[in-house]
Amino acid sequence: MSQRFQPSRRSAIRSLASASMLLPGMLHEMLAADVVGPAAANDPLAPRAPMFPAKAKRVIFLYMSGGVSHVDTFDPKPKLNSDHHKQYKKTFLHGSPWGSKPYGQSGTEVSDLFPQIGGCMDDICLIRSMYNDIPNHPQAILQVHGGSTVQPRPSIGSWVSYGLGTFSKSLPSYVVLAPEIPYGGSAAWDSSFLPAFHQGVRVIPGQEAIPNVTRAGYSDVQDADLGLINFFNQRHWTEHDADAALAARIKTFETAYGMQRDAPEVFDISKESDATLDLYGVTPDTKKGFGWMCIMARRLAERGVRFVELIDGGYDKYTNWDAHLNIRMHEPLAKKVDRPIAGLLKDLKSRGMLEDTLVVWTTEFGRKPGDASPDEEGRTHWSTAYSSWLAGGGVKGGMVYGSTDEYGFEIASNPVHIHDFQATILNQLGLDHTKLTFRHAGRDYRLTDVSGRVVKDLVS
Amino acid sequence: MVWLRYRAPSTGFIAALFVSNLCAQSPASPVDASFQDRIQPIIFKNCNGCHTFGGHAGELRMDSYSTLSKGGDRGAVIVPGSPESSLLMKAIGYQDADLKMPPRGKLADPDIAAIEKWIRELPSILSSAPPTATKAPSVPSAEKLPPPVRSALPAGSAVADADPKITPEQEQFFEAKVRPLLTKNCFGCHTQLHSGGLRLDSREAVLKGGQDGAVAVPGQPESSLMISALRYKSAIQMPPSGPLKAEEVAVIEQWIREGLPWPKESETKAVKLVTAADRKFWSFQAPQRPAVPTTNSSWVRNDIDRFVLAKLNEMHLRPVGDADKRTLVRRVTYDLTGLPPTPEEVQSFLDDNSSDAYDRLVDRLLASKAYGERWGRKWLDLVRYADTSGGGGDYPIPQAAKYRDYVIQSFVDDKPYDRFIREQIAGDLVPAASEPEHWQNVIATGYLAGTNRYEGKSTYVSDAVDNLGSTFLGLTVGCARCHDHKFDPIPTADYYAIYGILDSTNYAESGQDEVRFQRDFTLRDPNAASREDWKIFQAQLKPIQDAIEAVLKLPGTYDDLIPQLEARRMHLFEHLPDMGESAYAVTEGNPHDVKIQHYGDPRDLGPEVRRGFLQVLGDSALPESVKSSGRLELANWIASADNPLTARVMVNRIWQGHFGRGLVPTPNDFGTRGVAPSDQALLDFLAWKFIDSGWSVKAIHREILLSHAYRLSSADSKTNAEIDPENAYIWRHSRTRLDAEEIRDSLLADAQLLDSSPAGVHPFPPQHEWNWEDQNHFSPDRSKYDNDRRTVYMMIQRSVRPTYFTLFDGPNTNVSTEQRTSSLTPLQALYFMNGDLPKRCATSLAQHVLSSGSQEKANVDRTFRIVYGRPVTTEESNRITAFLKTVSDSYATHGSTPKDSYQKAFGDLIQSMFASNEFMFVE
Repeated sequence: MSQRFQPSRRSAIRSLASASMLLPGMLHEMLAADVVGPAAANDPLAPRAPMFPAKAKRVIFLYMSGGVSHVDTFDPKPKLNSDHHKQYKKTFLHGSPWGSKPYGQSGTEVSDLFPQIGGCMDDICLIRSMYNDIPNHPQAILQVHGGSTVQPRPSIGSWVSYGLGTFSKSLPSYVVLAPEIPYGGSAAWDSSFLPAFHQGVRVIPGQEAIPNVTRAGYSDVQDADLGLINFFNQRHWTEHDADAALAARIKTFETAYGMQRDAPEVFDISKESDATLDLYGVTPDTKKGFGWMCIMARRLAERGVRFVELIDGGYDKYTNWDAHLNIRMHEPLAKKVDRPIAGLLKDLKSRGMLEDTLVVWTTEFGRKPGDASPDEEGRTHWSTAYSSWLAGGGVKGGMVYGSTDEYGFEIASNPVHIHDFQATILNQLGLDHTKLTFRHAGRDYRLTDVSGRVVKDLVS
Repeated sequence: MVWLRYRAPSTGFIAALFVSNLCAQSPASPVDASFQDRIQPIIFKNCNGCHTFGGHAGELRMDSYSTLSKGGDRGAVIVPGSPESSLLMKAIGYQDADLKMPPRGKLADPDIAAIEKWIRELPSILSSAPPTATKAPSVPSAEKLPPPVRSALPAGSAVADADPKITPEQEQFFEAKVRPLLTKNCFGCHTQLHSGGLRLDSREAVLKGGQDGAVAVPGQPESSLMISALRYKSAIQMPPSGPLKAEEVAVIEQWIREGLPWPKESETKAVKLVTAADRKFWSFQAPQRPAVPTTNSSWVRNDIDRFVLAKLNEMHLRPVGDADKRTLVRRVTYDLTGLPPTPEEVQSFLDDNSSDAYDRLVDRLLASKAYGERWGRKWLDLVRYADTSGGGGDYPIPQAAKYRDYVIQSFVDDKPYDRFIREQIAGDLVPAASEPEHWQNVIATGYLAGTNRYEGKSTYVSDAVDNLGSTFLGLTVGCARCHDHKFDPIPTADYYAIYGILDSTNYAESGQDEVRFQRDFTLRDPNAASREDWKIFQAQLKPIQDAIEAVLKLPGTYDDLIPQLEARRMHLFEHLPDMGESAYAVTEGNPHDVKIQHYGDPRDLGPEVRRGFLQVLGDSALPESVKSSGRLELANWIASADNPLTARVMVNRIWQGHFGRGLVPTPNDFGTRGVAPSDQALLDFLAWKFIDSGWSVKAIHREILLSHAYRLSSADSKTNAEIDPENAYIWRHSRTRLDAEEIRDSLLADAQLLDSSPAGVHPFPPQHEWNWEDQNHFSPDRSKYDNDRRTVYMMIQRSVRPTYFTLFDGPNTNVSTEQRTSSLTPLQALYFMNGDLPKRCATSLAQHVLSSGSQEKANVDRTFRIVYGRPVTTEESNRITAFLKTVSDSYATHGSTPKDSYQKAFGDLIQSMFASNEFMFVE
């Protein structure tokens, strides 16, 4: 599928068209000669039909930064606990400080860190056999997001935006709610060689959700200003070979205007019902925190944002999941996200949105069940095996796919490489990962590079 | 005569191995033919890149049967006839968690089966060849008894711990028999992991033993714990996976009986030697002055054009037409100064019809202070400059700005680049003509002092090595910290050779948890430290510091004590004697070599390596006669005309600064993983020219800017774009978005607000208020640091990137920024719509223009000349007249006076121009 953005004069005017609220008269004039055929065809972010019928229309991607220990969360290992401090594979085994119990009809074992998510296991498709290629943060984060461990490539959110466009005219197609920046910086949501309008727009939870989103002057004056900017840009663009980058920047003003108009309402949760707020553990005046981020994910998804990513924790090992110092540092982090995530699943379900919203919970890798030292209290990186899960969007709830050995070191069955995981996510959106390509520097690139397979067993 | 025994092998297998050596020369041999037919296609499909065509990940090459049979750093990978014991099968079968190959996914089952079958059949394939032995085997047989090797020492003699002289046959025996056994069975636990306190990776380590005492008594296997453990006859049974075969134990017995002979060089096997083949890679070969392509084309203005045109022709590309004068003056002014040209500068260039008008324009710009501010900032990107320390407390470093100013001034002065390098690495050690010059050289070492300050010295020395490699050499030297570089010929020993030099250096301490004040900064007055008031101050400080350190060592909580002591310390610092000027700099430390840190872990040490430089870049070890750190020698190695990388890397950066893309588009990686140059001859020509000009950066600017290639328009061409979409070969000028500094500086300059007074120091709080630590780091009230100076003078906090820089892709303060990205986001649009600075600048410029009292048309024209560098067109003028009317009316409706309304509307006009693409992009 070739979707290389090649604007024509008409497409540029089309791209201005959604700014028609700015200066209707002028745009009408500009479009007069052009308004023929399906207008959306040239809007690079207009919703696009999937390649085949899709189970999911949108994605909410919950990213736990730092590397969540699988054996302490979704892959509990009773034998690891009973063999605590025994030697195995050149290491001393370290049991988990937490117990576990089975949840739901499926009886899936989840550690005591996630009692609320545990309660949702019947809606969750758990994968206990994830692996990726490099157990180091920046590379793993790059790979989980862009497929490659070495180079920043377009993020999965950018690929989805590129493949499907977005339903919202006024919000970015890919929104990243990130109070902090993960290891490796903003490369996680970069659009790389894809056109820049597919880049994740980072929202920093806080007072002004998006910097400068509050209109500074009178609205009629600003409308006139934007009309004038469009006038300048339109002239400039036609004089400069209809350049794609110039068109992309024109588009950013349109999106910015929509953000400014809609943001106050989007980011205001005060009108949510008490029952809903309670699901997430927030109050009407909450403006940040993971609970706020989760309810915001639902609100953005509802308003047509195609891909919402939530990043928990940044690059500070004292406040993220990178539990080198002490694995017990997982406890406060889990407490912070458990209820909001469960709340999100329940909320989506009660609104009928879970059916066509794929919720992804993942991290850059797991953590090693053993250590060379018997005294070590933390756990180091472990990309050989870790856990992730999917929910909604046509995946099978209440199932566990894959397994690790009795201690959680190695995958024992049904390995799922990160490329397989990505291929499966795209598949649920009606996108064939081998066909969603972009020509760059002489070859067709794709999210899954040259590998990846859809894990059919996961999908209903 | 012992050789004879080896040359008379009794098994077909050993004989076959000899054949494999021959096979390399005679491709028709059965084993090579079978390799090529059955195995090579699988290898080329799946192992390519890492194990073929020069790739040698894990020291393993798989191009031919002969290289494959040699094995890699884990020893042999195939055991003919026995796929079960072949490491290759374990790796491709994904049986070993540490070694799954290929890493990106398992081979198809038929491929695995084919390899398995081939290995099983190998003995018969091999034995079908003539057994002509010419060379000793390099692959051991673990299945046969070792041939009796005559001991070099009397059996049972008490062999001293001193290294015995090792005979060639012993070496052969060790490499063929002993090492493979150790590697396969023992090294997993007894090297880095040193289980039981025992390492078995050197003779010294074996003799030292572990927590259970000595494991081997030279000459006496029967008394050696190692043997009883191997025989599973003692409480300790090794290896835990199961006993070795009797003949394998016999090998170890014999080795101990002979006194543990261990070949010298293999003891320090980590010190991998760089081979001639490694040096063949283009960037490790010294640049030769290439022949300049000849052409009769009138298009050509200088030698650069001759190269560019030759390449364009070769690629079937046609250069587009030239940029007009207006475009050119804006382009070159931004490129060299980061500022827009003033209307007067544009006009004077347009009016100058002399043939050297453009040359003089370039010279004027190169001579400006603004040039240094622009290009100095590019350098600061590379060295990840910041005004605070980062890490725990993120302490302010008021002195860091001196290094920033030094860099800017060096560019202004066109300081020879080799000298610029020497000063930054060893400024305190290079000869200086005067005290002021020496002082500037000391400040220059702020480059090294400014290394990332988190955690211990090993962390920041590593950061220094890493940055040194990428900045000056364009090499990812940092990759060799934990292991030999996977792709470039940089053994980990080379990494620690440089590390030793930088570890022999003292770094100014800007503050940390326990010591919340500056220490070891260099004082300009060399006698300051012996001053009486300083001594008294130190005497008063010491007991407080001692008390703090003592309290920190106490068990339990000390939340009440520390604040009291810190208050006393802070009170004392109110009376800190004025010690005169100081610099954030480095000084000579205690010169020493360091040991290799296995996997970058300073607790896990390997052999010591002599301080020095990278083998692949030439003569490398620090001469024994050098008694200092070696920093000066390191600087000289890098800043040498013989260094194949230094000049190339810098001219590439200059090229990138003008064309938006380097000839090597990976400017910090000229290694095998970087992207090859689009035109190596041109790169080498510039490198030669650079050195020939006395390392003059401005000479290279001039060469580039005066070329025809630089003066092309940014017009598109469909045919060219099909062939070269990235414009790597310069068929046009690439359009660029203004970078973060250019946007802010242009706004301020256009608004006539740019403050060009000397930057001075940031208003950091005085040291007696410093009380930050890990959990409570320095968090400045940013408004105190705001000013209207050029953005290069903005206070940059290392741990918290200014939001403005996040918005417009500013530099990273933690890693070298080799090239800025140019994103286009709605958040940037919001900044222009609603942000404070664009509004303030628009208002200021409106006031400035309107104060002339001219007619509207003239005012609008003047505004266009300031913001866009061109006059307004009639169409624009008409549109703007209508706009000003509408918007003035709006403001009036909202209650403004007529005069205010008009001025505000004019401000909106300007703000819209700032927001437009014509402002944002340089053609």
